[in-house]
Amino acid sequence: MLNLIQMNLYRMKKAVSTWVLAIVAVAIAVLDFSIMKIYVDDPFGWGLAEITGMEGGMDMMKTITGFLRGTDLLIVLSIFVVIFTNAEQKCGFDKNIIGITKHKWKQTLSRWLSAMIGVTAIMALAYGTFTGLSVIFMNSFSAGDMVAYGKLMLIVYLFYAAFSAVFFFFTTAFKSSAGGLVPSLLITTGVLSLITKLLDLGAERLFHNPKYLPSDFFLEGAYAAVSPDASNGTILRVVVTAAVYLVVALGLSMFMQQKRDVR
Amino acid sequence: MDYILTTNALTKKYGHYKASNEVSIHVQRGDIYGLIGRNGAGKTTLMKMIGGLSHPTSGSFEIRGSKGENTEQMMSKVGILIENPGLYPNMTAMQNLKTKAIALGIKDDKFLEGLLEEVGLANTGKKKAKQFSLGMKQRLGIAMALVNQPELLILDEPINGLDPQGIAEMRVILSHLCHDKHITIIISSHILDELSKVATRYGIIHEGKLLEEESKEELFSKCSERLELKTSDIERTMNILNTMGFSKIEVKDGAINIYERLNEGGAITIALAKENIQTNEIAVKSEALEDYYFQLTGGQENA
Repeated sequence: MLNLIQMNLYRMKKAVSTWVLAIVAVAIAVLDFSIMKIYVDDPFGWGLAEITGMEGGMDMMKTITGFLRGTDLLIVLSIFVVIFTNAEQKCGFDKNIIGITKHKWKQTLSRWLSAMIGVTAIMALAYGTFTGLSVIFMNSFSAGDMVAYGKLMLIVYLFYAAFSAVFFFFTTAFKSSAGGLVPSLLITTGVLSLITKLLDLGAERLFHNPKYLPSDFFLEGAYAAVSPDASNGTILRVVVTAAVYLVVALGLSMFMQQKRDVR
Repeated sequence: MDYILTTNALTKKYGHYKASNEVSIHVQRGDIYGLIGRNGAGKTTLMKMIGGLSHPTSGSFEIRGSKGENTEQMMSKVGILIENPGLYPNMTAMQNLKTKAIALGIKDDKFLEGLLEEVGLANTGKKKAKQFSLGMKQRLGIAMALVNQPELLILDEPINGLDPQGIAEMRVILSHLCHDKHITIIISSHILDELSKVATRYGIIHEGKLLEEESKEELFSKCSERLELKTSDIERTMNILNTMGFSKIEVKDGAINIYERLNEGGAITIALAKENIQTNEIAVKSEALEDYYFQLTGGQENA
């Protein structure tokens, strides 16, 4: 399996799309930082810092929380996962290697693990750029509570892994970039959350202040609940939700690969 | 017999449709086994099952006496090129080979360069696969199939769409692989003339079924010119022919086929008359490989 991961990383390194998306991720980090800088500095005196809760000294947690709110990076990552996952079956390269093992699910798992290495690298690049710019350009910037920051980043990483597994599943199931991209973009651009909000409204009408809402159990709904101020109960719920999505999406992808013929 | 591959009633069903219907082929080590059949006959389906790309609905196959699909080590000695070569278009020939080599844990670049040389792609340099001609892509596909140093090579329509020069180059490569590298090859095609130039054994597939399996000599004997003789007494006729020194004789469908000294029809008739054997019919007949194939598969209208 290590060989398969190495092979996937080799082709990832050679793919133009990887580098293009990495550049886009950095550009997004720069753009998001610029917007945040305007909010914090408030050069036109519109009280933006107060409105956005970015008044006072900035630290790691505050900057990253600001970056987290946007889904731009998630969109880039969804495109990366879909393109990377589909490349092998699109050009038919999978036929060259699929017969070499009876455990075809290993090939799926190694492909996802490789995709996650790419996701991690792009994430690190984007977050690193964002943090670096914050350190350099933010006035009175401090590290802040690094333990809380580390905890938040771990949860965010788990969500990125779960999202990647879901995008991976769609691409594997539909065996096409379009089939993978459409549902992935519906999730990342927030279109699906409109539907889950409707479901929430329906649930509220039916059950009058239910303890849990349908959106709590959708991946993007759980992701929206991730915040440094979230209660332990909420953190536990979102972590379990992300883990379940990850395991189910990945398990189904491996099962499909094992059972399905290569066309 | 030293069979490298045998299939036992290998069947693949898509719904109610049997793309491969209880096919049992026998491939001897050192064969270039030609699978003949028109488009949709079931050649690719059979090859996909042997190559591990597709699960058989029923039946089994054995590679070197071991159950193929379940023996990882055996499958690792099978190289495949099915339908089209699976190449990354933005990679060079070497990079494509290297990608597969890494998956197999092979780190020897010299070996990969040797493979490119063998298929005549040593000088492609930084040219990307998307800029290759069809022939070059097919040859790179063969090199890809050779990365794991296979004992059995499965090639599905590798000459399809190639120009005459490309076909000739492919023929040279296949002969080299079989004779110099001792690789057994299964090759499918619907271009009978070309297949007949390289294959040493044939399996004729039609509508998912294996109609016949025979050696080159057997097939060509059916296709070559012969003297077809029908008499009132086959047994006595055979004795007379033996006395006259004929050895390449067979009895089939109530007729005696003689494959030598085709100009001695008159002498045979006289000899038979002397023994009071009536000659009902005697004629020189010939059959092209294509005619034979059409006859076997139900006529030209199906082709």
